[in-house]
Amino acid sequence: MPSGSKSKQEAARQARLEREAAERAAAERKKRLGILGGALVVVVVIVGIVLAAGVFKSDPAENASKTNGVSGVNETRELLAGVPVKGTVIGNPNAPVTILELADLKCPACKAHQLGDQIEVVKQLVRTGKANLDLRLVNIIDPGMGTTDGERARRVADNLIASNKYWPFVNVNYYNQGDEREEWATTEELQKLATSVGAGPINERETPATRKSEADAQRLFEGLQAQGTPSSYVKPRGTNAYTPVNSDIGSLTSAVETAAKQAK
Amino acid sequence: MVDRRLRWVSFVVALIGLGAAGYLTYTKYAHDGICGVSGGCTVVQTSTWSELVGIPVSVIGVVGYVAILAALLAPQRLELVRLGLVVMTGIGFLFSLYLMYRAYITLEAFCPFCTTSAVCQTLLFLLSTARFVRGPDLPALVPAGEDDDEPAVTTA
Repeated sequence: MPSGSKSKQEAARQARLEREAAERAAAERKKRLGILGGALVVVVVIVGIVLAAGVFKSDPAENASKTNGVSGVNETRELLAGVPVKGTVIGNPNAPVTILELADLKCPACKAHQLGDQIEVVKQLVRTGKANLDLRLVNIIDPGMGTTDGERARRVADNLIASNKYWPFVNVNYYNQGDEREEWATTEELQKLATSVGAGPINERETPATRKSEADAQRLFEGLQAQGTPSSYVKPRGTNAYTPVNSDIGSLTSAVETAAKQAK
Repeated sequence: MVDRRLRWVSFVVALIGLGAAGYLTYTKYAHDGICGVSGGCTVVQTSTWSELVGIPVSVIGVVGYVAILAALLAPQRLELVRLGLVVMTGIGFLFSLYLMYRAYITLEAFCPFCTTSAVCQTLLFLLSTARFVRGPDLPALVPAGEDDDEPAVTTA
């Protein structure tokens, strides 16, 4: 066979093979794109179902009752019903253990704790007489956010210590807490919150009472080397030994049981 | 070779994402939601969108990255593994997109580690999709012994 004819045949065979390979590749790509399309539909359906189901964390303040535009008034009343309230402390003043909590009225983590685990703390530890709860306010959000209303809200709260309206005011404050980056705790807002818990005209000025409570809280915060808020500690009765503990109900329950054995 | 390189890039990106999600998980548990890097982290990590069915989204992120890394270590010639990567990274990408929308538009907060994770998920989705459409490297093009998933194939 002449070599020219052979090379022509070879070239034709090569071209056919390349064409077939290209067709196979195109068919393979088409198949892959089809599978990919199906997979993407599955992905969109899965994500869509999860988002539509609304399974994200719900804000307890959103579901709270509203009284004259203030959230959580009824919930606060229920929380503290029948519980002794004296100054910054709720519960039996002679309980074997004191739970100390350091909090900031503008701190979103404190809100989450107050409207979450704290309800169980009051129910399981304070109401049962196993512990009392001392809640002290510090101001750590304002300096970082460049705001000043956290300090104003704290002074209003501290000026309510003497009338024992401090605790209900603080609790209602958390139900109505705004964005930590904004100046939401205005005089009008704070007055509205105070009125909702039966307090009279608010006082947002510095007084001997606010100076003392702020100094006490700051001394505790620095002395106990707290890293943020909320920070919880347990102290056996008759001692001055504060033990740091996580703020969840499980940790607090076991810490209270341990501390109770050391009470004097 | 191209697929092999894309796979290794995916591996590195997934490790970076795992680092970001791991840090967010650490801050969530160790500092009770206080991030310490910027105010935005606190806002984002305590927001409504920080937990899914009671599980912090950062934990779900860690689990997702570990699953992606495991899939990247599995034999890559299996179509199901490549398709699984597309599905996993696709879900991660769409969730990240939604969470970024919530962080930047709804909360107006900047969370650097959340953003890092979202960028990683986007890259992983693009890489996984490209790898799936391309298909595996042709055996003849893989020099003997370089693809540890497959027996060496050499040209005659």
